[in-house]
Amino acid sequence: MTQKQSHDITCEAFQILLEEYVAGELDSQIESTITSHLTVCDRCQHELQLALTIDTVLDDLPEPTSPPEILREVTAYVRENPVSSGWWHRNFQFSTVLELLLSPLLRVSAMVLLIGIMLFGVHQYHKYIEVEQAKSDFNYAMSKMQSAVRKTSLAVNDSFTSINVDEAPQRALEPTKHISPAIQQSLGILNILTGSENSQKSDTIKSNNDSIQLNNQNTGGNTQ
Amino acid sequence: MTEDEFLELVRKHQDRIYRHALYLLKNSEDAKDMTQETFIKAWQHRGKLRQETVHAWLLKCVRNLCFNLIKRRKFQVHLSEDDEGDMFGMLLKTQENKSSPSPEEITIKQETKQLVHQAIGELPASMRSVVIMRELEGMSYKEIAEVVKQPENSVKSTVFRARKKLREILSNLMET
Repeated sequence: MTQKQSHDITCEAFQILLEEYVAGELDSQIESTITSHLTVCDRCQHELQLALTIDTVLDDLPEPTSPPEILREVTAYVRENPVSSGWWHRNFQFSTVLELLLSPLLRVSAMVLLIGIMLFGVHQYHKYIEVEQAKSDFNYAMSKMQSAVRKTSLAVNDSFTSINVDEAPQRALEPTKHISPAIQQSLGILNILTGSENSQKSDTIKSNNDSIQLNNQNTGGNTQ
Repeated sequence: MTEDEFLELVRKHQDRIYRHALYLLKNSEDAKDMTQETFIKAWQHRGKLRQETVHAWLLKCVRNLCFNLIKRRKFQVHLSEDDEGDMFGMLLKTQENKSSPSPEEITIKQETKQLVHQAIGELPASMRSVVIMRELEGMSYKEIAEVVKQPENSVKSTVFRARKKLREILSNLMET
């Protein structure tokens, strides 16, 4: 009796599951469905018989042994091409080096070294950025200072030609009001970069700036 | 690896490697040559060999050598009847030489066995190789997957497809 469908499984589905059924790899529910199907389907039963026959023959395949010439000829080749007797080959076989490289201790050390190099690189990069920024600020401050000096000399010249002689010192010192913060900032950066050597100089210049500002105020007071 | 250690390894694995080559090439002379070449290659690459993976390495090597030979000679197309006779005759002879036949051997007729062997010979070489590793060598799907460099599920599927194909071939052979 051949039928396309019985007990909820088709012959096509059985064909797909047959090998797993023979290997006993299906769950019990599907297995019992197939078993029921097999009781009523001759075609699938025939397929199962074929599969079981193949299974039995495969389980019992002949196992021929190798002819003795193989070992003989391989032995002859090995004797003709012996292991290299060099110092390096004796002591440092590729496998030995590989094993050493794969050892956990060496791997951890390599990892730590790699992380150390990376952190050092990041630190150096940040330092480089800071230095570049400081250089840029310093150059800006210097340019401001030079400009102020030029303006001061112009003001001094102008004041000597002016009719009102009392206003001359005030006008001459007017531009330095704006440059003193820029100078202090640049000197601060210089101190950071070069250490304490310049700190004394900066203090001196700072005190000079303060005295300039004080003079400015005094001069302004006198004028008023 | 010293020479003596290597020759011990050859003694241990030569039968399995030779069998694999014989089932793939279906010719004892070619199988012998490929087995020798495999061990010579193993000696040349002895630095890479590791005890736990040496069998998989040898199988990979013999498979590649056999597949190359099949490609070079277009083996399956030009295979003569005599060559097939050589393989099956020898396999059956090996079977007969066994001292104590199993109950299955008594049950299954000799002709059926011959037909199944013939059907195995008609499988594509790559499929045959997987079937031999699974059925003859008793290797797990995982071990085969390492040799053929395919996922485990894919190997399992190949084995099932091979058995299905064997059924079809056997069915045709029985009809004729």
